[in-house]
Amino acid sequence: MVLSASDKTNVKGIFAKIGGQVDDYGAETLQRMFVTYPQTKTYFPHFDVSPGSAQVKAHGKKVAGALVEAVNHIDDIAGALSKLSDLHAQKLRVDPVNFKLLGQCFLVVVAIHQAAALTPEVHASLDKFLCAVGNVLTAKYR
Amino acid sequence: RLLIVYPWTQRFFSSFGNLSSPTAIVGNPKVRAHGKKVLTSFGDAIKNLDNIKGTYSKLSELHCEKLHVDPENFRLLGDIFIIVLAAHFTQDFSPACQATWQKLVGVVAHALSYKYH
Repeated sequence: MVLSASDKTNVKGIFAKIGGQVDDYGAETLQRMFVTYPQTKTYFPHFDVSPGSAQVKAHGKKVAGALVEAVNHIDDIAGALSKLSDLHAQKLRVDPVNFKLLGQCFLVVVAIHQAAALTPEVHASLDKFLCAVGNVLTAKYR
Repeated sequence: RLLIVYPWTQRFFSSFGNLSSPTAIVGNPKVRAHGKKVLTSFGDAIKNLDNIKGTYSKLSELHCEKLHVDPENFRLLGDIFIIVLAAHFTQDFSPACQATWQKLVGVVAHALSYKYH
């Protein structure tokens, strides 16, 4: 799976629309993920995962930041997220299936807040991009 | 959206004519008609929430024996349906709502694959 030129344009475009709200999108993504896929909470036993949790907000900002970093280096996502990839492989070891769940929730959040901008084409590009990020983060698992 | 976001799902619809671009897919009357069929069927599940497996028993056999659809595709369709609901209902599509609907599409997918052999 390769990101085409139009995929990159679409992804950059939607993130430009999201702008500074991306941190809130990150928090809402995690909140929805914990509610929709409760098994994902097993990776955060040390967190208060209740709605409005400051920890979830802070972590959402982290996740959003990583996605923005990937967008800003969309020609070399592996390079941009190399340290995060190491972290996930050696320390966090989040099962790969969970990146799809996070991606699904991020798409839902974008659909809710940017319904008009999430055309079928942009949806496809964003889904591909999120898959690519997940692949990079699990690339060094074995 | 399923046919655009996951283009390999087009393999089941060679009789639908022009699926060569997102514009073609969106404007394709057979796609529209089939979407109506699928959503109507979803409605049947909602009318029979206590017996979804029974409701989809024959459809499950059909998807296995005649249509030869990998059940993974039901999962993909369910995920896309969630996104469409989110886009239409926006803020009303609360986290609790999303969680419930994600469960429902999972149950429907399971019911559709239940008779596979």
